[in-house]
Amino acid sequence: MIYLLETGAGFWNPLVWLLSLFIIVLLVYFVRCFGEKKYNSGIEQTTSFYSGNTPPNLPIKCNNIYWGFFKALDKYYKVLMNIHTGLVSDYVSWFILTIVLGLIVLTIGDLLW
Amino acid sequence: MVEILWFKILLIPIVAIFGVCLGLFYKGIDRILVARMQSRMGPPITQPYRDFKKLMVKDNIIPVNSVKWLFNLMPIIALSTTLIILLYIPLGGVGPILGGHGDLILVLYLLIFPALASILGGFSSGSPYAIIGAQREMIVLMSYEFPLAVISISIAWLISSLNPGLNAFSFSVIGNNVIWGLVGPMGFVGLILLFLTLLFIVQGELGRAPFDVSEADTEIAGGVLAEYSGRNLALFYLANVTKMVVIGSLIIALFLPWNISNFLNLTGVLAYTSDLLFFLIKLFFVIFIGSTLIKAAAARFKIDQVVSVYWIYAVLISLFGLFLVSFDVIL
Repeated sequence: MIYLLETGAGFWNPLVWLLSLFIIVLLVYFVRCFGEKKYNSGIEQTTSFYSGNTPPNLPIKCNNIYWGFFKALDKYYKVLMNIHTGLVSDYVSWFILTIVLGLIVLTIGDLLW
Repeated sequence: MVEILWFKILLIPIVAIFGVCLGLFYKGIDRILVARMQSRMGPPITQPYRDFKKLMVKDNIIPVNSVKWLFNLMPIIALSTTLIILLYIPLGGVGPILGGHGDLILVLYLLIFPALASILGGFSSGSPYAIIGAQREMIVLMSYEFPLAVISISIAWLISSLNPGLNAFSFSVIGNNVIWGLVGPMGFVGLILLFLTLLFIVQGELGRAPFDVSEADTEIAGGVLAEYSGRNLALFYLANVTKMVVIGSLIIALFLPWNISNFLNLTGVLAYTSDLLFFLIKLFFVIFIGSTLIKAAAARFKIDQVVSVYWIYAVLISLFGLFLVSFDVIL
């Protein structure tokens, strides 16, 4: 197939995807055009809804996105934070330990299969 | 080859309209069933069609402090990217229209787009409620992706380990190698665990209770959709109901790909019709168990509970399912 990208496991034709997306976007845009376009722009309805009050101009920090993760995986993050001591010798030790573990796993896997 | 491609392209609008109409129909059934389970009468089955019609004639209000082009574009992207997934999944006994042009991995990636569109739409609206809703939507999105990937890879690994020459991510290969027949008792239990986990992911994908933290009407007034109205909201509404069909069809393609015409030895038009009807029945049961029943029975989770359920419990169950399947195959 022309322009079919194959990775050995998966395959994808981006051109067909783009063409199909273009057709569907046109169709959706066509449907959207049947909807009401107008609204009263000069009145209060165009301000953001905040239960009748003026919306606060508070910046919401990006790290808030991960609040749920920090809370749910609290114990995991505590372990990780304790590991991160800031000492280079500790990081090198972890690196060597990971390499050794990886080699052990690969060796066992090679022996079994 | 080129003629076939053009014929497939001509079929795209038909499949898109079919998907939307089917989604609205199942939404009607879903609302009635939820109402009956809560001892209410519920709306008529045509209510979703009326809701869409009503939204299309309502004012399309655009907030003054929104990023207007992004605010207007995201509903179109959400619906378009939902509809395009339908082209890569088998529907009603017929192979995917674009089956030879994309596989399961592509579908998994495409499933992210509608959620991303609603996140960007929420951020672009400039509303405090919508921004909080968009952040929550992002958490839910990141949470269910991991177990979903584990399930998909489990199925592909199972097929590829038993049939090394086949492309295990192709839907036609998955459809021809029904996974339940490839494993022994231990693998069967593993597949049931994977299937149940996938049913639980439906709620997160659809943003419905108990995973509806991103909209949460009683807390954040609709969240990502708080500022949307009129035709923009109508498109998001269509995207949501179509996604129900998409997820249901994906589950059927992975776990329940049987066609009834094979059992009844039917051929021709009769075979296509019976397979389509059988597909619609399977879709109903998948949506009923995976969405309607859980929605009616469960209260909304807190945000950290959503992460715990998906990242800890769903991942552990799906990994255990994968372990049972792999152990079964190796033995």
